[in-house]
Amino acid sequence: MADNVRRFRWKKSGEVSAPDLVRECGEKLTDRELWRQFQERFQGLIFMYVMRSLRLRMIQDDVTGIVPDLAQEVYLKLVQHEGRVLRSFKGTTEFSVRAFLAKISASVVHDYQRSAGTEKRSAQVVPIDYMAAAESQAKKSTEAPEFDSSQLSSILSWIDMERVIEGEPDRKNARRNALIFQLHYINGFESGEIARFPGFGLTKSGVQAILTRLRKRIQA
Amino acid sequence: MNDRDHGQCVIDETLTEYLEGSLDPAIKAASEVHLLSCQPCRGRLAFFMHVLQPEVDSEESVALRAISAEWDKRKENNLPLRPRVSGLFMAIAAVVIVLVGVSSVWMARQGAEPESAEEIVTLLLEQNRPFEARLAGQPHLSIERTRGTGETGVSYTLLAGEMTRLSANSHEMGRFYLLEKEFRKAIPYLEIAEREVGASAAVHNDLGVAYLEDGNGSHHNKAESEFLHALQHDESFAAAAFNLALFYERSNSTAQAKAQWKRYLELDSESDWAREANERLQGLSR
Repeated sequence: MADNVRRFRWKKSGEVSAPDLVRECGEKLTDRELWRQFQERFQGLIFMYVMRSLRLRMIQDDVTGIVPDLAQEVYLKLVQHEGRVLRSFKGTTEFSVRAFLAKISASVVHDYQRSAGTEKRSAQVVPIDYMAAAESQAKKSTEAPEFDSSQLSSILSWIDMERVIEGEPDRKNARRNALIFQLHYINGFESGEIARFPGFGLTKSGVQAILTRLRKRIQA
Repeated sequence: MNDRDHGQCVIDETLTEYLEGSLDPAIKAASEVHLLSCQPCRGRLAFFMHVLQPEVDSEESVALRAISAEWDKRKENNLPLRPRVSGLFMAIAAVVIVLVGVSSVWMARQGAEPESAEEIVTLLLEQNRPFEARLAGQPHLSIERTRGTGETGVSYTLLAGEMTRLSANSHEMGRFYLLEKEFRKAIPYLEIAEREVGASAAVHNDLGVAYLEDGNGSHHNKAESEFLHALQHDESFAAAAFNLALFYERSNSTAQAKAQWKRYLELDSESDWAREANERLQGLSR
């Protein structure tokens, strides 16, 4: 858990914290120095979140050309209506800032997709979660080479997850563990990728242990 | 498991707070119950998990370098934006761009960031006609009666800061607040401008507009005086002639209004303002 938290910190010593910087920018929309810091610290993240959102939405446009345009729109969304969006930010952690920027970036990409009329095209392709599942099926699981994960992901759709939850010895976290199981076998996340999110409160080996336990129970 | 049995779908904010671990335990538990059964919500959770992965792979790294280079190139070369950014946003952008140090990119369509307070006012005048009366130097736009200032998308607070930074004078500040329909702020500025030695016809006209449009009965008659002052300064000052006719029309002085619209049309018979004056004159003659 501590390891996870550390991954989401990127503040240099002596700098104002990321949540405070976002809040201050919302309060002082015309402060050049604050905005210079904002750009220096968050612009790369905005580029990345816009780029990933485009790819996850299967938008095939040239990312090098389109991401700068959409990043500008993220800035506009932050400041319009007297910085209403910025002032709505209530987070207290570095992760909350990332999540905040990711949500805005995703919404800008969503607007772009709608305005560009690409909704229709993307509707003909496979949704994100299926895509991720397909990716996970394509690569053989390195965590359980003896286990055919594609077979499990295909049967998970009809497995009664309530039964899985009921049989889980860790009662307190039974639903979280079942969700992790789905995220791995249906949505294609590796244990390390799941463990990176503080909300799960687990290390990579902790996620692996849950996956192994639930897999054995389903196979039994 | 039927997702209809497991509560409402989870909003994006809850999903990211779930990933952060900041949800209230009861909401966390309810979210997990729903996520287990609702594939679209789990798909959105997965979406944010993909977007928020802290690790950047080599392919992404290459793409990000190219994006940053493109951003810098546009900054240096003033390359244009795609035309999806609305004109109204440019007014906001004019302020913010400078702040984030990317002015050349955002202002590419506008040509340059505003260098004066008057330029900001002109930008606003080009976007919005807030009332029937005519400010000095105002281009003609048809009135969108249903549209309030709050719906224009312009951040007046933000722009007010920029007006101050650009050392706006009393007349410019008055015009700025008038465009926002903040009559209580506009009138004091315009009255200061009007008291200055050598106050121009434009100042008298704009103060008259503020009196005419603020809906305060005690100000109404002062409007006529200001329009007449403006015309004393410059008898061919078309905006004041237009507004005086409008004043008479609103005062139900039909004969005076008709005469004044005719005088206006002698000054200006070609512009869109003239077309509007003609329509009003015809309306009074019916």
